[in-house]
Amino acid sequence: MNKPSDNPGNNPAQEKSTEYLFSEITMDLTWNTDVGETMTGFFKRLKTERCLYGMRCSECQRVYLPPRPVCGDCWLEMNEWVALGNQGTIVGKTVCHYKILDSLTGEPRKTPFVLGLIQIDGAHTTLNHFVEAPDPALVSIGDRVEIVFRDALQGNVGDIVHFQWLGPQAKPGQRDE
Amino acid sequence: MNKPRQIQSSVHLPFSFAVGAAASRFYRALRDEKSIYGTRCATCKKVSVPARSFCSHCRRAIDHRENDPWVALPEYGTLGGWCETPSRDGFFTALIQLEGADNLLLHRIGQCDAGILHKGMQVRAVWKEPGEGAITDIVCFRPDTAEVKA
Amino acid sequence: MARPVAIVGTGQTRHCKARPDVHQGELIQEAVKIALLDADLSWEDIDAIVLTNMELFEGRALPELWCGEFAGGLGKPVMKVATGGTSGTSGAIAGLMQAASGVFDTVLVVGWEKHSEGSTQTGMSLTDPAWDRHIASGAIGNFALSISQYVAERGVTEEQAAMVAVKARRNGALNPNTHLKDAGITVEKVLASPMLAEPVHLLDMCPQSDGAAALVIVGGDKTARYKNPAWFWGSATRHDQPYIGDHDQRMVKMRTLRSAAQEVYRKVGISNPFKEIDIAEIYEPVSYAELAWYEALGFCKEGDAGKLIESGATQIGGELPVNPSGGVLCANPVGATGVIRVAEAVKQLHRKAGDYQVDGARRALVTGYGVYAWSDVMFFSAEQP
Repeated sequence: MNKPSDNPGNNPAQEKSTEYLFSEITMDLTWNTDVGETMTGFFKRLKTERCLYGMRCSECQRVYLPPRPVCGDCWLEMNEWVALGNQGTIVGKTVCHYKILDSLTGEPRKTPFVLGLIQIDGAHTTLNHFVEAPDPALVSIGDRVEIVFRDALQGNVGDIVHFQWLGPQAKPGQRDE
Repeated sequence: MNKPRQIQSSVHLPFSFAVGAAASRFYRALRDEKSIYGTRCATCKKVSVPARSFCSHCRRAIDHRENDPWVALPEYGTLGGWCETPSRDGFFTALIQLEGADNLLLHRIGQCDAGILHKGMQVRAVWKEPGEGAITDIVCFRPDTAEVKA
Repeated sequence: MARPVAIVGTGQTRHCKARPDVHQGELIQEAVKIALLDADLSWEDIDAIVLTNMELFEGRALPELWCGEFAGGLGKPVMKVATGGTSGTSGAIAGLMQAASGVFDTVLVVGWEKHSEGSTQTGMSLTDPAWDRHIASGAIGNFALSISQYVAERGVTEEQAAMVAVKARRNGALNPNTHLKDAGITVEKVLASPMLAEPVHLLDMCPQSDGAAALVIVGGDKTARYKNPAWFWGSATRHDQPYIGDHDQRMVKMRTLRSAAQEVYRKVGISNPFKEIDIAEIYEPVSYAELAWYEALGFCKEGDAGKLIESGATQIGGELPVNPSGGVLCANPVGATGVIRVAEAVKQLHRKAGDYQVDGARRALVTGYGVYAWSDVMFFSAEQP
């Protein structure tokens, strides 16, 4: 039996000269995910109407984006679709200085990039997405943004390319020229 | 009713699994010495292969840094069991009883037809050159038709 | 509670960036061995095991496989809890409930993570493919979004957040098990560290660690032989809705933590947490979070978290030391982190915290945090309930 000690944990520094081996394995994994009836309806409306839809709970009146069949707070089934606006308000904002890959292109995203928590007009929930602005420092909580959709809609969430910053003074429906 | 949608998505996940100090020494020995090591438990005296840091029989640690539990096993033994359906590259998954070990080594039999395989037949390791420090440094075991120990 | 149960042993590895010398099973075994020694028990005494691990991060399915050999689980019932950051605290609650039920007398809880083996960021991007995966920008971006709302609402400053990081890393220097330690860290050093996602600097964030931690829980007659058991008085767990934006002002409101804490305080009879708790080990993945948790846990009034950190009351030696161990900011092997919070609180009650022992600690609060604001809250005492 080993002699007990306060911490039999190995101190890696003591074994610098020992070669430790690793199994290097890369998994390229693909899944086919059933998105469900509600999201199927969401994507169909997105593709045919170029419009995001939320779902309203008849009890608490919250409009959920993404839509879903049950309101978690009320435990009630929902089926009331609500057409949402194309603009929203930034309620949270950060400028990221670390690298990530753009999942649509597979390329590293240019840093720094702006992430926003966006309350789209008509929805109670917020959506986190990228915000395009001439200068990240210009973007503030309370500013308005507009959805930029892909030209050829495919009916998936990639149809939202990013949100265009409209500026602090822009009113809903106007664009800052 | 909308046709149900399916989304295909992929991820690319690289992993680098630490095999641990005991297994590292086992694989280094395969690569550098063409030796197969087992470890002997100080309590029950059973030898396990591949070398490991824990005795399954006693549920006790085998201290692979002290007490020299390392046992160099020969590269030959007998065939314990095998799968009759070959893999795509023509090998048969097999359990090998190396001489001196108290457990069976999971590996594969190759360089032969399935028809000649029988339990207890003499087999010998075929080595990869150069080794890489992986279990595949033993390419497979082959029937030792001469039944001569080196 | 069905019957009183207590934690009578803890064990941790020396958490660090990488442990190339051990595989996951060997890592687990180190912590289990220390915990069993601490509890003066052996493998045979364990009746059931709870594992906590986010196997996705290591790409190794079925972490239960390690149980047979390395956690003493051969022939025993084993269950796994994988709930993000709350894995360790939810798993500890599960183990405590197993013992409290009377079905098992001695339960081992063991959590671990080997972040060095995989790409944690990639693993974290395996969220809903229909909705948020394609804009996955990592935990830091998500934290920073919530923090920006908290800062706008509460007015806490970068300096106040940095004070949390300074407290943590100085405490970490007193704790032999921590990954990050810095006795000489200052607010200036934190603010000079690279900006990750505004306003979060590198030194505001927790590390990713390799490490394991274990707890030994006993109930019934088995508690009698221990001089200083850490008695479990009660817990609460709350999960929230699936997407980051489902409940706005998440960090400001922290409804799961508030609700769980209120339930625990009610159960154990606490009306003034700041006065009635002796130490707290809370799950703070980023410095700003600790400030938000002060308010959610009722350690101070809404809006006074900045004042609280400035007062020094949450330092070791203050009125309510928070994370005297160094907290998540000093070690974060995710599957183990919640277990470490419990272990560090329990060590205080066991009088085994060495250089970071809080004198007279008899009542300890533990919290866990995970994913999109799931929360666990637990309360332990040197007194039997």
